[in-house]
Amino acid sequence: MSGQLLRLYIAGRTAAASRAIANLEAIVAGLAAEGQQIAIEVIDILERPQLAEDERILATPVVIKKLPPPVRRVVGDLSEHDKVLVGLDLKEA
Amino acid sequence: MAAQRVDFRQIVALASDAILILDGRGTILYANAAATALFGDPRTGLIGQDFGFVATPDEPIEIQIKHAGGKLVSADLRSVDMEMDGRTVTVAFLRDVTERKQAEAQMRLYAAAVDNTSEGIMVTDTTPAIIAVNAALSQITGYTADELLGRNPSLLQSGYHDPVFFRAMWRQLLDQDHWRGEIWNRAKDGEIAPQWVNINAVRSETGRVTHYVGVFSDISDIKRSEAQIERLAHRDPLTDLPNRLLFRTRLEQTLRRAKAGRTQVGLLLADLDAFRHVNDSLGHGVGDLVLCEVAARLTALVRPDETVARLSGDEFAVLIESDTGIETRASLMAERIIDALARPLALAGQQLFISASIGIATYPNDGDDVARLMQNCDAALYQARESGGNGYRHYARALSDYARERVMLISDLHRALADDELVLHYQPQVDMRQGRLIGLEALVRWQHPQRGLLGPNRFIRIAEETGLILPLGEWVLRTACVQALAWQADGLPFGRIAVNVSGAEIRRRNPVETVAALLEETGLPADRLELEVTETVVMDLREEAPAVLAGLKRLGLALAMDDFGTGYSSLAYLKGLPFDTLKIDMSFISGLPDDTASAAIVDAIAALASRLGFKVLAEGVETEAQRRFLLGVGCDLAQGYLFGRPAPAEEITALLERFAEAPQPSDDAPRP
Repeated sequence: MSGQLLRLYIAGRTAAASRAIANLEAIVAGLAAEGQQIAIEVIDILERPQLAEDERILATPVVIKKLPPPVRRVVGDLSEHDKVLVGLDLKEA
Repeated sequence: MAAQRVDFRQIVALASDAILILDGRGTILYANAAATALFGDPRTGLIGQDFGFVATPDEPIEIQIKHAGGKLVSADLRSVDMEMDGRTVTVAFLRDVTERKQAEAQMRLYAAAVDNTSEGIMVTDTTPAIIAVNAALSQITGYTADELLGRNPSLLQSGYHDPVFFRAMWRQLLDQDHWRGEIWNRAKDGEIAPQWVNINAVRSETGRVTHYVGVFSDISDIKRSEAQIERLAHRDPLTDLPNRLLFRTRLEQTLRRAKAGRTQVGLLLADLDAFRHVNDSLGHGVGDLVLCEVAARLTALVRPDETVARLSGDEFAVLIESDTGIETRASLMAERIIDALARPLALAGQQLFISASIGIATYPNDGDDVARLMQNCDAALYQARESGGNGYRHYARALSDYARERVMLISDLHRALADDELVLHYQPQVDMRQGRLIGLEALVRWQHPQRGLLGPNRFIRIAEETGLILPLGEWVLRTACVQALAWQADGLPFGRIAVNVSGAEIRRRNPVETVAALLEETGLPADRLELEVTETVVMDLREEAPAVLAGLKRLGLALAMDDFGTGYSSLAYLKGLPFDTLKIDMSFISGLPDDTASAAIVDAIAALASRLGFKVLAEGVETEAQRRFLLGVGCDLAQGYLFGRPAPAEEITALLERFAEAPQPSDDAPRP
């Protein structure tokens, strides 16, 4: 299961964005402990607005999983770790 | 029920919160009107878009909505999962919080400003308990925020202000919602410092006072500057003693205290004798050192609560207090001052001897206000100086007569010059051996309308002190020249007209030009004029004397040294000066011929002077015995009652006419 990438889109370093980053890192760390290697990329749409257009992002913070399909996105501060994993289709509901 | 369902949908559709219904993957199934507005997309545009899976905790979380117009909108997001039409959907509630976020940002800005200002800020409720402080307040007070929060602001009170002060502050705060002023607060370390405080009441929307905001500025620095300015205004920068201004204030306070406590006050004014000579001969640098040393010696004599001040140039003042016997205490202080100054000063590699004249006035004996005491003390000082210096005088009531007379004389003298009340008398100067008149000394008199004829000893000193000596001297010189010219025109030989010149006239900017102009104005030939300068004036002039005297001499007139023998000049020094005649002071003549000391001095002067090429004239010759003695030692020239008193011009005219008609025998004195 290598090569998985989660892209977290934020709009400026707001308090919610910081919480989302911390939560996502914790989630990924949890998965790593189970042998699942997942990389994180944080993208600030204020700095790269075209990416937001391309991804048709409606709200941030939002984490998007493209591979493996299906494409999934989860909005919010990602504090509900289990529900985030379900939403990203990384874990059975 | 169908109708009711439609109603629920309507409610959702029109709700003010944005509502999205998402499927299990986050795709938008429904968006109400508020959501359309929030996202800026037409509702149909939102349906089917991928908002994203939402999983929120119980509390709403904050997200950024990307509005279609490009801007970002902050929104609180809550979500709830529910069953709808047999499947699980998520209902997301979004509330626009952009304005609240902006207000929060504004608040953070304010908070940053408050925390970074150097002014201490305190917010209290109406208890009043402190509910917020900034960092600067902690810095100013020394208390941390935790130590301040919840406390009453009175914990900062220094005890410097009485309860009346704070009652007035609160009254104004309650009446007018603001107060400002200076408060001396106590910091945690106990240090009390002045703060400029602005307090404003904060009212709620309903108009009720909810808080007070106090802004505290540390003004210790300003106070320090004020103290510095105060110091400059009240201290003499050379000696650091109180100056006249502060001294008067202290005297005033001391008198007030004395009146309340029935104590006595002594005021001493000390004037250094002949201090001008120190400055003139050794320079102002040495003069300043002398003043500093005097200041130190005087300060050492008084108690710490008593005052020594420097009022001006070389005038010092000492203020003492006593429960009883102030006159004695003042005398003792004066003697201690005289003793303290008697020790020679070692300055600039030489020993300097100084002395002081001291005047004393006391409360309640000599006055009960500052002006009266200062004035009377000044009169006493004047008496001390007149008595030869290096001594002290108590103010005595008779002195006030003197002071009053002095003030009146000054104004009268102005008038005398303007109204021509001054007159000249002339005293013959004779050659005793040849029995002929050699000159007339012009002597000024004042025909005072109330006091009668006043001699120069009554007003010349005042003229010198007030600067009137210059116009007075010019008047004398002009009048004498005009009179001499009249006698000359009438064919009455008078020898030379001798006019006394004061130190002030010699020291003026252009003494030679002034005399030259008067000669030209009156038309008197210069060789008919003799100027008499006292030995003291010559000695005061020192280096300038030869040049000034030579300048006068070049005009063609004669020069006589007046009062010779009183000014301690050496004959060797005189040798270089262009005098024609030395006039031996009358104090040496009066003892002749019996007083052996006087006889020896006059004999020596006459012998040395003739060898140095000076003529010698004896002043104050009154007896035949004196005349014979003088002729015996070779002093041929004389002036005195024996030959004629000073007389008005008309009497002298008669005398001159007699001389012109019948010259006296050469071995006899001319007799008017």
